[in-house]
Amino acid sequence: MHESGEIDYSVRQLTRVEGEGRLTIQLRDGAVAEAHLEIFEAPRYFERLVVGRTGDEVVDIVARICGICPVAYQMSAVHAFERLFAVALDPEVRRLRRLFYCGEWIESHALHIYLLHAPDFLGYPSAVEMAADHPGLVERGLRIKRLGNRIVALIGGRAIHPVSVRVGGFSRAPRRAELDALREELATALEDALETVRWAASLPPPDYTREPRLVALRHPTEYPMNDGRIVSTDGLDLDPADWPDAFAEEQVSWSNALQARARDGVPYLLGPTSRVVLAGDTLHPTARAALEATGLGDELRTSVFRSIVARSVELVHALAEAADQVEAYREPDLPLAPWTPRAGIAAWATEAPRGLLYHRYQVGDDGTVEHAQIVPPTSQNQAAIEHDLTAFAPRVIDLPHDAATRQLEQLIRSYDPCISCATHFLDVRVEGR
Amino acid sequence: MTAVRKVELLVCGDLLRGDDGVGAAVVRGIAPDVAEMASVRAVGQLMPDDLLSQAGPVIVVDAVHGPPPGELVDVDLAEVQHVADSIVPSSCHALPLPMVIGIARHLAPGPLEGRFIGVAGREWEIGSDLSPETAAGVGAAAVLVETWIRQFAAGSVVA
Repeated sequence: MHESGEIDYSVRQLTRVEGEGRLTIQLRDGAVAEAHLEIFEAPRYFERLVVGRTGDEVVDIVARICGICPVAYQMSAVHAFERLFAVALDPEVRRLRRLFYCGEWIESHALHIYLLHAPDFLGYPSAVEMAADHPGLVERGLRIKRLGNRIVALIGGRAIHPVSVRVGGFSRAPRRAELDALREELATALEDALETVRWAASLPPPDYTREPRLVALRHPTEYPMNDGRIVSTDGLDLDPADWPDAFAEEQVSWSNALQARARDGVPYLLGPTSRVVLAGDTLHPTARAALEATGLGDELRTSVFRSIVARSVELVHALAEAADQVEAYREPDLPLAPWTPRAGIAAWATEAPRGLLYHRYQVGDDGTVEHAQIVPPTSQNQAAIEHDLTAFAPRVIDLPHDAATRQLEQLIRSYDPCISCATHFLDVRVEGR
Repeated sequence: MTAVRKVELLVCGDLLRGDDGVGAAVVRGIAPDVAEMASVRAVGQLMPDDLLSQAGPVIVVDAVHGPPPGELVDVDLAEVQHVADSIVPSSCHALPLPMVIGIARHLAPGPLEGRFIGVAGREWEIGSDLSPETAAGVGAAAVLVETWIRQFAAGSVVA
C-alpha cells in the first residue's frame, strides 16, 4: 500500500494462456482505477527478421511466430503477396487453404475449450486435476485437437510450423485418397463438437455483461477465414488491406506488446464472438443450428465468458466445412501458379483462431521486403481485455486473493490470448486500496 | 524367457531454431544396435496422447532453458512437475510439459513409465546451428539415452 492510499493487486504469473504475462490492478480509495496486462515476454523482432527476404521466405519465417496458429500467419502473409503480385490461384488451391485453416481452428479451439478454459468453469486449477475427475472430457478435447493437427500436417507437410505454403499455392497438393482418409474421423469429431456446444452452453458464466465494439472479417458467401472485408458492429466496412485507415498500434509503458486501438481510441474485440455475431449468417448450417439450439445468440455479444460457446460453435463450423471441402476436393491442375514480383505494398488480413491478423509488407523492385508490420489479434484485444478487467475487477476485488485471481484469469482466458504472438502474459497485482 | 520391450523415443524441437534442434542431434548419436530397440518419433509439440500411444516406456528428448548450456537434465517423467520451475523445455509446446505429463498420467491405463532427457541450450535463433556449448553436450546425452533405452528394453520379464 502506498502513502497515497493506493494499493496494487497482482497476479504474478498468468496460467493457462499461451506465453507469459502479469496482471496488475491499481486501486485508488477502494475503487479500481486501472488494470494493466503486462506482457513481459521479450520482443521477438519478427518484423525485422523478414526484411530483405522474398515472399516465400517470409511465409516460412512468420509460421514460426506461433506454434498454435502458424497457418494464420502464413495465410495473411501469402494472400498479401499474392494480391500485390496479381497471382491467379487455382480454385482447388483456394479450397485447400480453407481446409488448411479449418485444421488450425479445430486444433486451436479444441485446445483452448477443453484444456485451458474448461477448468475455470468446473472449478479446477488446471486440466491435470480435471482429467482425474473428467477423463472423458479431456479425451474428447484431445481427440478433436489431434484431428486438427492431422489436417494441418496433411496439407502443410507437418502439424507445427508447416512448410508447404508458397506464394501461388502449395509446393505439394495432397492426393484425393489422402483426404478421403479423413472422412470417418471428421464425422466422429463433428458429433464430438456438437456435444461440445451443448456442454459449453450449460456452463454458468460469471455475472458480468457489457456492449463491446466487435470487429471481424465478413464475406458475402463464406464464414470468414482467408477472405472478406473488415466490418464492425458500428458500421465499419473496409478492404482488408486498409486496416490502418481505421486502427493504429501504440506503445504502452507496461507492455512489450504494441496495443492496437480504433482511431477514435475505443477498444474493440476480435475473435470467435465477433465472427459469430458479425457473420453468423454464413456459418455452416450445422453450426448455425447448433448455435440456435443454445438460445444464447444475444448473450454471446454481451457476456465475455460466453466466448467458450462461440468458440464451440466455430469448432462445429470448422469440422462441418472441412468435411464438405474434403468431399468436393479434386487435385488442382496448377498447385503452384506462376508469378512475377513487383514493388508495392502487400497487405491483407485473415481470421486467426483468436481474431483478425493483419500483415503489411513494403516490397522493393527485387521482390524483397523493405519494411513489415504484423498486427496479431492479441495485441488488438489487449485494450479490450484491460477495459473489461477495469469494469469486472470491482466485483471480485474483495474476495480472497486466490478466488479473485481465478475469476480475473477466467476473464482473460475468455479472450484466448496468445502472449507469444503479441510480443512480438499472467502474474496478477493489485496496487492501492 | 526375457523379452525385449520396445521403447518409444519422442523427440521434440525444431531443427531450424538453433539449440532447439538438439534432440535430433542426440538421436543421431545413438549407436545403431541400441537405436534398434527403440521407435523414434518426432513429435513437434508434445501432447498427452503422444505419451499414451504405446504401452511401453517413453523417453522424451528436448532442449531446455535454465541450466548452463550443454548441461544434461535426466528426470523421471513422474518427477518433471517438481523441477518445472528451474528447467523449462524450450520447444514450442501447446501446453507446459508438467501439464502434458500430468494429464497423461490420469488418462493412462497404468503407471506412466519413462524419462525426460533435456540438453540445455543457449541459441534459439531461426537458421542458426547448435551453439558450441550445446553441441558439446550431445555425445553425453546420446550415451545417457542409450543407457535408458537398454535399461527400459530389458526391464520386463515375460513368463
